[in-house]
Amino acid sequence: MPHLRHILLVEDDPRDVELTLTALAEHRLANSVIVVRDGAEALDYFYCRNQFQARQRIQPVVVLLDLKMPKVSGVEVLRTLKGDPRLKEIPVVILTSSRETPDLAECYRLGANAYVVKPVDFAGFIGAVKQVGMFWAILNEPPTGAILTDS
Amino acid sequence: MSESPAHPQSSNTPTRLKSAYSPTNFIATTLTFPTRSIQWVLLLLLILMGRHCANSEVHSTGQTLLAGCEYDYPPFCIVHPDGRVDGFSVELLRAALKVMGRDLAFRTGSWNEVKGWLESGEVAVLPLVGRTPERETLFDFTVPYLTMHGAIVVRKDVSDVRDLNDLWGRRVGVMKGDNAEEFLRREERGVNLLTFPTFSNALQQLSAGRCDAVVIQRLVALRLLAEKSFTNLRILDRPIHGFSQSFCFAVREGDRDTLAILNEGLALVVADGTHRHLHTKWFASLELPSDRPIIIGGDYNYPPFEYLDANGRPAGFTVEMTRAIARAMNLNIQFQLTSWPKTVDALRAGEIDAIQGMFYSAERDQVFDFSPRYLVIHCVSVVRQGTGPPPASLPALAGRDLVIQGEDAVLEMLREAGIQAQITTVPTQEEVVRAVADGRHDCGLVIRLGALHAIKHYGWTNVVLGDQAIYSGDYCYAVPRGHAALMAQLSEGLQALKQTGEYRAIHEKWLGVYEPAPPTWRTALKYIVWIASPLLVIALLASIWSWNLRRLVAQRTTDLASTNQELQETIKELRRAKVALDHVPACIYIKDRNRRYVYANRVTLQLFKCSANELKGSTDHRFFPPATVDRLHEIDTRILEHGQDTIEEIESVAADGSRRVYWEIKTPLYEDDSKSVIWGLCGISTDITARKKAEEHLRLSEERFRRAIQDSPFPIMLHAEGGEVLQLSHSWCELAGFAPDQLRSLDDWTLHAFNDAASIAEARKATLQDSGQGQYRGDLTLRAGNGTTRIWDFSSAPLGSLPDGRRLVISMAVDVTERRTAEASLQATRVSLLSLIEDQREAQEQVRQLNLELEHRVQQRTLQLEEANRELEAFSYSVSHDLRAPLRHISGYVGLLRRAAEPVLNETARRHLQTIADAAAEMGALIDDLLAFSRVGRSEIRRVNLHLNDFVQQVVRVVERDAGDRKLVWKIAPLPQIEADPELLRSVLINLLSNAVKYTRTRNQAIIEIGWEARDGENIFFVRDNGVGFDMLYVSKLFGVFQRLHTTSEFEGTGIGLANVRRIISRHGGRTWATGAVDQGATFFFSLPISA
Repeated sequence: MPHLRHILLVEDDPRDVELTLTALAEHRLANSVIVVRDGAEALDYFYCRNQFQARQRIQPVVVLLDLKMPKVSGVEVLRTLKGDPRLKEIPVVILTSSRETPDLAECYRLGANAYVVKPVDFAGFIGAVKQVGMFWAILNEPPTGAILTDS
Repeated sequence: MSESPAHPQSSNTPTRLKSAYSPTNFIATTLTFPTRSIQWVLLLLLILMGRHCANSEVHSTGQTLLAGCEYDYPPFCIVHPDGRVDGFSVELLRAALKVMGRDLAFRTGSWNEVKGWLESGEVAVLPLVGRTPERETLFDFTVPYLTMHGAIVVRKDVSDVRDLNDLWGRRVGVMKGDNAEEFLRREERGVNLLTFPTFSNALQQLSAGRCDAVVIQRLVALRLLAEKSFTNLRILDRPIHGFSQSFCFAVREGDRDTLAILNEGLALVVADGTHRHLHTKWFASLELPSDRPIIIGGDYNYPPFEYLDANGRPAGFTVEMTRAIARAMNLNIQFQLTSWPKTVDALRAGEIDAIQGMFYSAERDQVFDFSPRYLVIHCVSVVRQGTGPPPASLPALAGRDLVIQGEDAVLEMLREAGIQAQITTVPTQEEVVRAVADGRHDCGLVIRLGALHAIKHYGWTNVVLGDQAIYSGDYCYAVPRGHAALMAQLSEGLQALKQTGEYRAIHEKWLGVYEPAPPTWRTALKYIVWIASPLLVIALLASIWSWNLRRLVAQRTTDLASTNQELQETIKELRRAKVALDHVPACIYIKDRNRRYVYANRVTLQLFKCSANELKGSTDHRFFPPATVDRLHEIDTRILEHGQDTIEEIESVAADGSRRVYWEIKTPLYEDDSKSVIWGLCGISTDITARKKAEEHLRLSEERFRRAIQDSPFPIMLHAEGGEVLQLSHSWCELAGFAPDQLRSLDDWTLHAFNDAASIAEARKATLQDSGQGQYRGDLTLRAGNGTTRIWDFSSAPLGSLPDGRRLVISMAVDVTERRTAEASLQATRVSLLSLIEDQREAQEQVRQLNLELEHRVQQRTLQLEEANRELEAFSYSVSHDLRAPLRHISGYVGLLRRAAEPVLNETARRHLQTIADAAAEMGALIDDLLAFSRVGRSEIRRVNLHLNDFVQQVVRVVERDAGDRKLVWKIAPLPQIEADPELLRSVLINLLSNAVKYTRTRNQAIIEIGWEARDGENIFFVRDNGVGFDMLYVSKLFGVFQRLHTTSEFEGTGIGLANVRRIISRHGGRTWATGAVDQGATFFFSLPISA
């Protein structure tokens, strides 16, 4: 059941999903996380298509978006979101393994709200996810009108 | 047709009234002889022609015409108490009809009556009708025979009336119906007009003070005032402007026949003198002065015509004529003879009444009236003897120095003929002759008779009187214009003298002296008888003698004729010779032994500006300045004394001051062919001034030319055909090094300069060719006098011919020795330069080819590199993502495992897990470093201006954080601003500083120094530490990838950091190096180009 204030995690690697959810769980944020496995699924979610047709019409307070995904890449998803006036206000935090500057610059250009390189060491990783989750899901006030009406 | 009762007759003692007033235009016209009489002749002709149209009956029968005559219009119409009609107009009408064969009867009445009779046709003609516009419709008029002027009569005590305007508001009397009334009524004059039956009535009323003025014809007034003795009246002198009246005979409107008869008759009586006669009879006495004699003027020295005799009394032909006329006409006259000009002025001024002898002229006719001529006088010229014949016509007087009596009519003739002459006037004829005789003037104009008189009187023998009349004048009496009365008297008297023969007698007396008349019969017979008898004897002897003589004479005549013929021939030839000599364009002259000119032709005379007569006897002194005279004298002496012919050039100064040069040939003249006696010399002289000037010009021109050649800065030679050198410029000799006398001919030159027979021959040939046309011969190498070799650039041209016919050639040269030498060396330099340039060009071409190749290679390489770069990028990206993810998973799951199994694991197991985690972390660091290193190679350098001190401080803070609690001492010098990529430079500094921190870990106190210096265009930076240092043996490995001088257990590291530093600095154009020693610290240097 999706909660009123939830986090959408877009991640194709189940190991990363597990590690991420583990980190979020340490701050009791795990229950309010909805995970989609690639970009296409993410877009279905945002536009309430296919399996998400019946979902509650409430948008996540933050989207944790991996870049390197099959089908539709994270950059594609970001471009679609930020290019849609109804969706562009949703905060998007890029969570990626890459430090390559083209990605970083491209993501900010498209309107990403934050860009976090996942640390290799476990503690670092847990810390980073914990801080991101804390900030966006708890501290940050999402924009008004986050409730998605029928398109 | 009965004649009217008579009127009281006027007193027949006419008062002579002096009057300057001219009353009779018409009369004046008819009497002005001779021009105006032509009008009457024309009128006559017209009438004669008109008679073809006229009724012939009128003429053929002796019909009596009835005329009307008014009572009281003296002196025109007068009716005597016995009924006889009289008066000027009446008599004129009578005479006019008489010559036409008509009789005349008169019917008398008042003017109004007679006028009515004519209108009604009761009379055929009226003798006196003023022609006015009003009357034109009523009557037809003949030509006017008299013109009268109106006058105002006032009482003597009235002084404020001077002309018509003064009559305004006054009572003015006129005869009723008179043209004076018509005149006054013609326009408003503000007069109170009173009309009376006659003018006598009007004058009576005026005299009695019942009117203020009477307007009347002047003549009528004169007559009436004289007859009626109105002593208290006077006639104003001033004529009434606009009121002049022409009087005519009048016939009824349309009566053309009568009019024609009257006009013809009038013309005839005017022509035959009847008109003048009647005028004199009726008017003259009225107008002539009564209170003084008539003054007759004349010349006091005009013999034999008029002059004052030894006693100072007037005498002469004209004087006597005038006396005779005065006697005949009962005139009281007085002579006033003075100088002629004064006399003429006096007549003009009206101071005298007449001049008794004056030439008629058109100009004078404007001012004076003339009588018929009574003499024709000839004006001739007078000159001194020896000054040529007296001029015989007006044109011959042109340009002469003339002397003429003042006011002489001939002056007018000269003016009219447009003769330009220098004219001097003198008062008398005698003075004219005297002026010529004295030599004061060349030519005089005189009356022949008068001059003869003077010549005889004074015995002048040196004057010659012309016998051709230059001008023949009509000699007449003259009066001021309009003084018709006196003129009529004089003319009448003249006529009378001619008729009585007295004129002829006087003429004989005075003029016969000079023109003797044939002796009378009786005298002749007396003389013949007296001398006949002795003469008969003598005659007999003489006839024999004369027969003999005649024979001789015949013989001599024949001889003379022959001689004469010869002489004529000779004269003809001589004249031709003279003409020829005159036309020779040279001075030809003859002088006698005394050097006096005997003859000179016309050219000479023109030069001397004198006449042939003046020349004769003159010497050179007259024509030449003293210096020239001396020279001529010297030459003449040679001829006259030694009989030499001479040819000389004489220089003299002409009249205008210019210098002239003459070429004179002189030869002696001998008396005869024996050549023993020289009587004179003959000279022929030509003006050669122009030629001399031309010669001088030529000489100067040649001189200039010669000097130009001599002083020419380059060699010039002038040589003749055949090789003779005529002229050489100094430069020729100087440059060639020969003396001028070494180069006498072209052969000399070619021998000296070329020393080559072939050249000599060539030069000769060239010379001949040159004679035709200019030639450029080009450079010739010659041997100069001093043994050196010169190069001369020759050209030559023909320069006309010499007087001897040889052609002339000018050769010119330019010494081009130095120039050619310079040119040669220049050419050599040029050639070597050219080859250099060629080499360079080839090298450039090779370089270009190489460049092209290189470029091509670079392009290929770049493409390859770009391809490789892209691959590398993709690789890096994969590494970045795909290698890190598993490491993270290892690290993550180790973390999860330890969290879950920590309590149950022993120390070893825990240590293993830790190792796995460390290895994964190292692997992650390694990957990061490698990616960074590869990124440096790929990414663009982005240079910005950096404050290096600030930048270093930031890095120091980063590395201090990593260093934890360690005690670090930083010694940072002031650093410059540089331009560099901030990201890459940060990487450099982090590497170097973190190395320094890392390798001083073993030191208690780490001292890290950052310094800088500028050297050789580079900023050289260094980072020095007091750490473990390194062995310089391995310094070359320091900056290699994955090269490490320490184990990971000693000092952790990936071996990529310094390699990365070197790569970054290298990409900034700088260098990296290091110094150090084991345990003695290390110094790492890097340089950056200044403003790179």
